[in-house]
Amino acid sequence: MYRFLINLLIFTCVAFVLIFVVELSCRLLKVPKISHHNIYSKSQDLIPIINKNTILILGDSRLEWGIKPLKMLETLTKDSLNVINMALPGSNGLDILIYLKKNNIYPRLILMGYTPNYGRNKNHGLDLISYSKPNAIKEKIKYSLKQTLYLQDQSIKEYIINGFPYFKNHKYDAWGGVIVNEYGDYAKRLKEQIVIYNTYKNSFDSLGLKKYCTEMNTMIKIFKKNSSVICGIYMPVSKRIFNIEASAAYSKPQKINFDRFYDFSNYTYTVEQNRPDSIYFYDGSHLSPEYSDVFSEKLVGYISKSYPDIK
Amino acid sequence: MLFNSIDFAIFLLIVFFSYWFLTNRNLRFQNILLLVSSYFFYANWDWRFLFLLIFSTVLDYYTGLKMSEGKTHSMKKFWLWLSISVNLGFLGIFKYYNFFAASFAEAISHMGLQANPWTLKVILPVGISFYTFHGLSYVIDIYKDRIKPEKNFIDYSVFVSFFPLLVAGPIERATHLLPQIKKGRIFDYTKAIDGLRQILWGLFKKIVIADQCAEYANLIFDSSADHSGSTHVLGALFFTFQIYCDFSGYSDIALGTARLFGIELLRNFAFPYFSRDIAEFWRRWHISLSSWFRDYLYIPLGGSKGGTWMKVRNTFIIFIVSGFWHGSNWTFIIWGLLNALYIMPSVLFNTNRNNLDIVAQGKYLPSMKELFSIGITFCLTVFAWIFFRSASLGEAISYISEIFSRSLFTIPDIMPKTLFLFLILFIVIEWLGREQQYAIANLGLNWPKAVRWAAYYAIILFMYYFGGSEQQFIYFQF
Repeated sequence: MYRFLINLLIFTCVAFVLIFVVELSCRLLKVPKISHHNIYSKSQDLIPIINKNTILILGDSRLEWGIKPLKMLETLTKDSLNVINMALPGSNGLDILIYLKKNNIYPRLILMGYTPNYGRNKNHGLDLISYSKPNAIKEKIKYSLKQTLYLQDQSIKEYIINGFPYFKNHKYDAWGGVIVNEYGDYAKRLKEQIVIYNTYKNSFDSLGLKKYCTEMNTMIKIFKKNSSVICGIYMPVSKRIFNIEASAAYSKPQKINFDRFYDFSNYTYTVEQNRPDSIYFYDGSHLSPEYSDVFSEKLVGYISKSYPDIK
Repeated sequence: MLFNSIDFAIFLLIVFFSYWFLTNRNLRFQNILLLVSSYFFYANWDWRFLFLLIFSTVLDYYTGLKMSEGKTHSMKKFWLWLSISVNLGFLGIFKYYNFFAASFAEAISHMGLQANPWTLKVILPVGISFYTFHGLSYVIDIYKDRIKPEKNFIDYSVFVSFFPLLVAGPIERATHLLPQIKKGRIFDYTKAIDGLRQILWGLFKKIVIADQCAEYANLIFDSSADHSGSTHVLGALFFTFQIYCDFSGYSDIALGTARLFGIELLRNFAFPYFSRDIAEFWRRWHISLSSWFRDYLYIPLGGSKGGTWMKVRNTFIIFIVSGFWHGSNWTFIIWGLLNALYIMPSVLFNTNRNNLDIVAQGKYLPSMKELFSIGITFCLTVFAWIFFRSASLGEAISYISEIFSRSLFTIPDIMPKTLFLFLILFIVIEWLGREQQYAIANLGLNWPKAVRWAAYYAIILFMYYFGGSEQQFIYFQF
């Protein structure tokens, strides 16, 4: 038995030494570390605190990056309301709606993102997870390991193949808002986004969108019945991205029965001053951190105009 | 608690140390610890179903005792059928009720009638198909006087619920496992090291091969309309390796884990993709289930004793039932039926026991004839897996029809080079280790320790770097 334990111990210690050597070498060689989206730890922290006084933001990264719950909270005068941004990269938000319905949680207002690509957006299975303190701690540890250790992700591989990874860092606030930094300048980032959205356009999933609309309508019916308000929101995008999306098979959510649909898709060059896109956008598709603060404040104005009790 | 999760590693470490250090090698304490740990492990999936597991355990334990006390044959028969009906009743309700209700509604809709069947909104208790079969084999063996009923409830409960086999087998027999549970166990260094090696290999199969294959197989099967015929072939191949590495990887982890506690479980896989005919494949694939069906269904139905017609009938029955055991979907039934058809020539011409030895035993390479037979058997298996993987029969047929289209001769639009390299490496290692219990059982045993350890570290590193996104074990759903 002791021989077994000693061997196991030595094996484990050597493994740790090897890990340490690799990690140290990467740091000495200044290998850029990939920064990751925080999906599950964020969910563990925020989903359990959603309640009937919540203004809940759901959808994809455009909303996650572009709507700052802290700014909205500063602008709102009603203390009883809280704002939670549960939008996530590549998400269509349906999983969270399913979870809320299952647990009879009906927020005051849900702002649901929309683009024609929501038919292809996957959810992250957040309705299938159990939310608890131990799970929250576990996810927090997992995320911080992923953010810190090179051996926890593909940073080294990425470095060898591409030199620099896509994401530099993520700074999350307590209510789910995030500031993301990527490598490269605006032009490079816009180019990447154009490639992505052209691919989406060329493989437009109309069946997926139809299915999504049907599922959303079912959920909207249930949430409305339980006195939640669900509004759709098309986040502002740059001209280049707008042109791609506007030419997709259909860009308006004619088939989703939102209580109200805020179409801000061409907002920056119609309502706002028509300044260069790089002022408003981080990469043509997501709002810049500075403008997202401005936009969040304005959004509260639009909402309270439509729903005077939300101020 | 998945076998490939940190949670399980911590759980295993705690149970292992408590088992060997806290129980003072007292068999009773060891068994109590195994039972409590197993129930904790199961409750981690869904604590509500723990009651179902305990109920099933109590039922079979009690009927076993009652059967042995039964003075008349009819009393014994009564207890046997009570156990069978309740066990299969639960299985039927949880696993098959909705399928039958929907199929009935569909059938009568073809006659112009309409039915809105009452469907159950229940989730399938994990492992129910496995522990039900444990219990059934136990009561049937008592009825047939093959074993005496177990009087110690703790020992019997460990037999049913031992955590390495609880959720996806191997399906154990009382004759094999119970004597081990009742016998004092002392720590065996060689066995424990071998167990760890088998766990490592199982994890490699699951994390590196199965999970990576799953990503591509899912991509191709879920959007099959977007892909060419050649990509469909690749998708079927990926699924073929996914299901093998997923399930045999799970079995390796289960066997290795049990060995850490001084318990030997039944072997579940013996390199099935190197089989030279379908009969051999079925002697090497999910062995504990195939032998269960042979002993408790095929032989009681008359086996091969009643002439050709009986053999054919019984073969079809066990393959259809085997397909149905996997799930309530017509795709599984067709998969079973296809395998029955594949095996028919061997059954009719009595060649089903032609290949009992290991292919190319003692040689590095197979003969051309062996290679050809392995190739044909493999292709047939891949074809059948398409039905197993598809969500519906319609999907399977459209998937297959795309394979037999002109686009079969185009270059696949998905070519994961790293995965191909891993698959080649994996096939080579499996081939070299095919005479062992598992592929790396003897690999490097004569190498210097530093080199052997370097190989283990390399495997761990591969898991870190090339592991696909974490997927649940396929057989947990059965």
